[in-house]
Amino acid sequence: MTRLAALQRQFHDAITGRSSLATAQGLVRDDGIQPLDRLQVYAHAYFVRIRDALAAEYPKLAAVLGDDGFTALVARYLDSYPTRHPSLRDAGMLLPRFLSEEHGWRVGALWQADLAKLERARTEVFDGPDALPLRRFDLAALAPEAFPGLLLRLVPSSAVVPIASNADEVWSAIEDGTTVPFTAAGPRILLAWRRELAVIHRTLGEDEGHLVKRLRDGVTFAELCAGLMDRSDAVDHALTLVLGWLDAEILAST
Amino acid sequence: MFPRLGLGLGLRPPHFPRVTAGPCPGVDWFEVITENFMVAGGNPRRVLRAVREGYPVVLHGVSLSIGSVDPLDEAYLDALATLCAEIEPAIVSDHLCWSSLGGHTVHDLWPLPYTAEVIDHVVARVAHVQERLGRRILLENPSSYVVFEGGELGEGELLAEIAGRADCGILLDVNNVWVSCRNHGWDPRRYLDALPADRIGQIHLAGHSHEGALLIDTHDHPVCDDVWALYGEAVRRFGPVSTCIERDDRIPPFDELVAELQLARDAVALRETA
Repeated sequence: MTRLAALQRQFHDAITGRSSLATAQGLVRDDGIQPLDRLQVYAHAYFVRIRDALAAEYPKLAAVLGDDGFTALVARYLDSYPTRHPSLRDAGMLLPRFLSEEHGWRVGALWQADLAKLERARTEVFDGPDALPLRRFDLAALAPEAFPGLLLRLVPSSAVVPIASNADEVWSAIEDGTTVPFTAAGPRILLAWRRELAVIHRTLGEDEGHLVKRLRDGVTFAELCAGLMDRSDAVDHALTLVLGWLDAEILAST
Repeated sequence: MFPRLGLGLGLRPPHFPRVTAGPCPGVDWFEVITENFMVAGGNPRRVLRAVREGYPVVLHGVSLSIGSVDPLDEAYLDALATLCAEIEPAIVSDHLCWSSLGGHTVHDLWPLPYTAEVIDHVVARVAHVQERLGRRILLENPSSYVVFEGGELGEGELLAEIAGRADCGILLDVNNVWVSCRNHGWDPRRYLDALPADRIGQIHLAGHSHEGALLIDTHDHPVCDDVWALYGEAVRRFGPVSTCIERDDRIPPFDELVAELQLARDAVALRETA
């Protein structure tokens, strides 16, 4: 190991808490200000910068946990998942997974993971790929015989988020300045997407949720209808769904 | 060697609506944080494209980690090259620091020791980056709070040696010179003495905070009088180099920053009439 590599390893481990800050004192020139005080500037900045970035990305989760709880969560998260991406935007990308992993030993972790999943989805949708949405007038130009083969696919800046709790209601309550406790609301499917520049999400009904999952890979109108064949009004219902999706701008223009 | 763009501002999200609404008198160009625009689409890229239509844009990175012993992140360089091809920035810069180790990105600008080993290491990596991008980059002096034992030269000398050998430019952050000099008992004018005028491609101005005996580079205050005085000295030595003000916290209204930028314009005008 070169001298530079050894120095960087020792400094890195001390500043990020893998070893005591005092272990790096000998690296630093002592010129009247305690080396430990100087090193503390870096240790403080390292943690606070990432914590503040995560608090900005997960504002609802931070509100649920409070300052101390959120700070403690970030400390545990960084121990397990040190950031590996050049952008601070992605420093918190594994926080939902980390919360799911805490489920076995920490009460509430799974439901907090649901809230984090929703918030992360909204972040990724915010600056995801641009795409033109499919609109009603696109369909108006379609010949009737082409309708069964019409490909329906979600806009690329969208995310299907399965949750086990009422995290969507908790999100909305915090947004409105009120509070709602977490409950086990059963499986739910949320869809987050970007319409123009606005990030939107909504909770889907069970049937629509399953269909929207299929829209991620793309499905033709005929296949959509086939998936609804247990209904007597399969085609009418499929058409109603599609028109609703068009108005919401969740389908991509092909 | 480097374009003279005039006086610019670091563009931050609170000012996106203002800069996309129409011309911004008093501002000649904008600098953006590179990594914030390495995204697929949405509002950040829309704003960047809109700004670029009306102004020169400078890409200023924080995660190149030019001094790390980790291999350079080729995926990062690919993304940077793609962004450069789309935006055609007037200047591309990052910091003389390290910010990753063992694949762990720390999102901070950690200092390097001032040694011949570091010069050789950084020179080779700058050459790789410049070849990959097909252009010169600038390296900025970061604020520092520690100096490592075993240094063989001063920070200004280190920067000058790297710039000369790597054939890159220097982004002179005057606030960082002031902060580091105060923190380590250096003379800021002797720091400037070490820098080659023909390598200074851009200047940064910013504010800082006091924390005990140390100054901290927080970018949350207006530029202080001491830094303005040092900027005047830098302009006398290096000429009307492209200069911008950075503000990252307690961000004031846009017009307030434009008014602050006028002080830089006054300093440049003073040099030209002297």
